[in-house]
Amino acid sequence: MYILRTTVAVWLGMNLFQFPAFAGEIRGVVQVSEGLTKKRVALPAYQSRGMAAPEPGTGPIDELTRVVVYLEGSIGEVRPVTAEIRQRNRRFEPEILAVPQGSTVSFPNSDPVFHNVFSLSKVKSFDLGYYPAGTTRTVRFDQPGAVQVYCHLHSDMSALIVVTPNRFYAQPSSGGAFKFTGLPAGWYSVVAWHKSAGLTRKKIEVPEDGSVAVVFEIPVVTNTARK
Amino acid sequence: MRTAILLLSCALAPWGLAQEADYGVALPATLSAGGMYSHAWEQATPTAGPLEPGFQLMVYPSLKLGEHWYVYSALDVNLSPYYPFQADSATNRLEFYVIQAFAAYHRAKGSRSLTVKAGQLSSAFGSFPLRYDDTVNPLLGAPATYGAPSYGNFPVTLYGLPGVEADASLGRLDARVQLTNSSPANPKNILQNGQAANWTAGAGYSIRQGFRVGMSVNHGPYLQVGRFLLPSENASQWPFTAAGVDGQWEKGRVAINGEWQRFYYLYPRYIISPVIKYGYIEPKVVLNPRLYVACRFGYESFSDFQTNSMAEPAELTPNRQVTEVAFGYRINRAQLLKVGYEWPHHDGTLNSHNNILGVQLVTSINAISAAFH
Repeated sequence: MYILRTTVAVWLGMNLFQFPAFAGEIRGVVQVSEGLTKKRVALPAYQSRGMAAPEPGTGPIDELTRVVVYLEGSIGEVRPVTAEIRQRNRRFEPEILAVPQGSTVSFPNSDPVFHNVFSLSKVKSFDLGYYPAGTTRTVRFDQPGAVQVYCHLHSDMSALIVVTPNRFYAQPSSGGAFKFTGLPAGWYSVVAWHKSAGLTRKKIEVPEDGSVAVVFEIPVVTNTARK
Repeated sequence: MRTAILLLSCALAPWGLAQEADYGVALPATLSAGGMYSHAWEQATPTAGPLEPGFQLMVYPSLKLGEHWYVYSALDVNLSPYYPFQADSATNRLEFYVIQAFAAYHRAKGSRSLTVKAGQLSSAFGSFPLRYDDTVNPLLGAPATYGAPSYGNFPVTLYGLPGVEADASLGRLDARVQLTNSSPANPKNILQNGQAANWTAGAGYSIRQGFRVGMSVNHGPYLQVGRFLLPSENASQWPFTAAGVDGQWEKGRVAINGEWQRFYYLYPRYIISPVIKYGYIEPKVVLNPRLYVACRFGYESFSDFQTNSMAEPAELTPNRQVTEVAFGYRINRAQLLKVGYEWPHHDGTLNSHNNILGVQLVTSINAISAAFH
């Protein structure tokens, strides 16, 4: 914990005092201090016949790929994008995605077996049915909020789409860093959402001229826990 | 300086963990509860009313023992009658069955896979024994030839058989062969008398993703002493032979399953042995993310038979049609409400006495799963 605190202090120092300051900027870092993603106990596809089903992915988990960061509330102009959640090796890739409202998400199937992607979320409910490898279906997300995505045929497949009401969203870099620029001065609610740990919210004030730093420790470490 | 920050941040980045556990235990379950409204059981159980509540709890304890080995089971606790195929009587019975409990070795590489199983297995005959779970079966009941665990009622049990099985797939082709201790028409547990080896084999070809055709055969002794067989007679002289073809087609929000089967029963002292043919087609259409409708149209035909004491052949029983329809409403990700209606009737009759209205609330429970390391 000493090392962690020291590192955070060094990082904050470097960000606050050694970088040139820009108006309306949030610089942050996400630190996932322990493995949070539960390992899956997936058996071979014993209940199906036909072409061999792909084995579930066995690569290592990078917890930072399971985090998105965004600002809450309406801030300026929204710029819809086109994003993708792929079905590969009986997993959604990525398992968490942030897009601004109005965006379109494509769900290509890369497996030689069918999936049946669906959501019953209030923000957007859909059922994409069956479609073969190499083809895709798209869904447009017009309302902000969280959309849980599942597969009818593989109950352990799940993904989360966070639809934001603004253009300030990011997936942390491999080092955990993220940055929001061009923000008007004021108070902002910054959210870091880890697919397994849930969301952490921080209120920060962005000055008229300069940058503000924020650090998210996932899972949240309370003062009591520090002692 | 930015490089230093990056290195520092990377040093704090979490370590990589494997996504899949090589060793672990999982305990998924399906609880299905509801009831049937019918007069089908009036004759067998005159004291019972037309409404019969029931439930089925399916628990699937599974153990993963490394990259290739696993243990899988399907345990059934139910209060019957709960399914239309149990509606011949309203005598409430709390029953427990080990439908599957096997150890397996599995290897897969690319489009090739091989699985060898030993233990209590679902019958490898036909395609419905893969779909008995209420979350998978879109209707309330089973096709007319699948059903109860006892001798004499249905040609294919849904309650498992002790045996060994090998499943293989190579590209678009899949095949399976199963050796069991008894016939799917007369399932016996490993401690019962009258066990006799039965063979089942099947194969399929995936014409394209979502369109597969298959076939299967079963052959072996099934008669038991006391019913058609004298103590001095050998059951293997009068085997049971089943042959069937099946197909699955899926595209978009439509899925169609279908089977056609022929069952040939040999009996001692019969000049003409009976043949039963059965076919069904089962379309399912997703109307919106929460609602689907499914139907099953089945037709069962019975040949004539003649024993050596009969002067001429006689009709075994009138041919039978069974039509089922069900609506499924997804309350949430884990819960499905099914409302269905079944019209069974024999040729030449329009009797609604055996019609069944059923409701099932199906809940999937996936909470328990633990990796060992």
